[in-house]
Amino acid sequence: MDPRAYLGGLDEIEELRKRGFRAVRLFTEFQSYPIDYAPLLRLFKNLESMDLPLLIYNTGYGLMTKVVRETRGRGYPVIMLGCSYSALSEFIVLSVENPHLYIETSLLDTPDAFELLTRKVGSSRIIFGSGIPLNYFESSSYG
Amino acid sequence: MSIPIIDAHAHYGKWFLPIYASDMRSIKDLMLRFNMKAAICSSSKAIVYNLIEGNRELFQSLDPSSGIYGYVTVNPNYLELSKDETKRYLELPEFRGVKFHTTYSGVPIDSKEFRELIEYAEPYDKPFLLHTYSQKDVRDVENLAKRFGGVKFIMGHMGGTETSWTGKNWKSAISASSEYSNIYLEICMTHLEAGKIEEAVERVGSQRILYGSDMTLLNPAHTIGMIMSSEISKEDKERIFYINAKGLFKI
Repeated sequence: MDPRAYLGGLDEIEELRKRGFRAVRLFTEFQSYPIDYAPLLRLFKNLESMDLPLLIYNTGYGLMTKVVRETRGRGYPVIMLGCSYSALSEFIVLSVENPHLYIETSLLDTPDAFELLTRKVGSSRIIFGSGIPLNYFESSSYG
Repeated sequence: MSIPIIDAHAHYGKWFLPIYASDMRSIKDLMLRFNMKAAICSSSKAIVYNLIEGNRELFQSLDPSSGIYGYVTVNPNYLELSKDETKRYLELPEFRGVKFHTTYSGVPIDSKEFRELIEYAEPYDKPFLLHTYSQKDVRDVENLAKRFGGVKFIMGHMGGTETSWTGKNWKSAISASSEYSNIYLEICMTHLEAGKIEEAVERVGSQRILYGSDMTLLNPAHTIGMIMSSEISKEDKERIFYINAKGLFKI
């Protein structure tokens, strides 16, 4: 979804869900809107009734903190995409008290990221992702 | 991993991040796991915090018998100190090149100060590993390659990438390397955009592409997977993983 266009409306999402779409994806990495953005805040709220996970790309320090603040207690999982070494601390701190937060693996690229995350938050919060076709598949799968 | 590997872009030491696999034992474990025969490391401390201490700690930890060699890190903000460091370490067999990080130092690659350091280090005839993560960085390396025809420059991260996924940065690095035979491309970065390796091999040839992992910051698996995924020949993979670095660093 692009909150700039869809104004948080649910009809479009419901229609897509009926057609087999399984999650809502926000392309923050390409569309550059901030988290503190009214149409997006409305979308966060409206997704409560949809029972769909939300995937959102981590563009930098602090974004995850804001996303968690706006989605806490709303009942749907949030999967942070594009998390590399700079996102680890923020994710670990947030995930301890926010069980709805997950991390995807396409950019989990530090030597001991999986060991660290498993130890600190548990493997159930880690979801495999590759970023294909934009990324090489085995970059994520090889290790 | 059946193909042997030489890692042309590795680090020793801690980062300001939650990474615990940063000591020499961790490096050796990673090397064993991924069939790495050698790794050329620069000191993360020398790059980020303290040039002298970082280079010294690296020197004290190097182990050529285990294939662990070093880059001496220089910082043009400290010209005379960097010359001293170059003189202290570069003639030692453990040190196989010079490392310069433009972002942490805040000094452009094509700067008067860094040119002075290149002139100083040139007689040692060892390659320079330069952090390149923008099109400006690439242009700067081109200028240096033109000016210093006898010096081998390795574009660390081969120009890098950007979140628009246009590939502009690494494409410009490929163009530079295709024009100047003393520019090598080293492949590691976080965003491993599909098609990068194939285009580099097609336009430059695999002989001047080097495998690098950026460990201990990054997991070698990340970039090994990229090469293994890429649609290039087995011979090209072997050159990238091992043969090119063996010749360049005289290992």
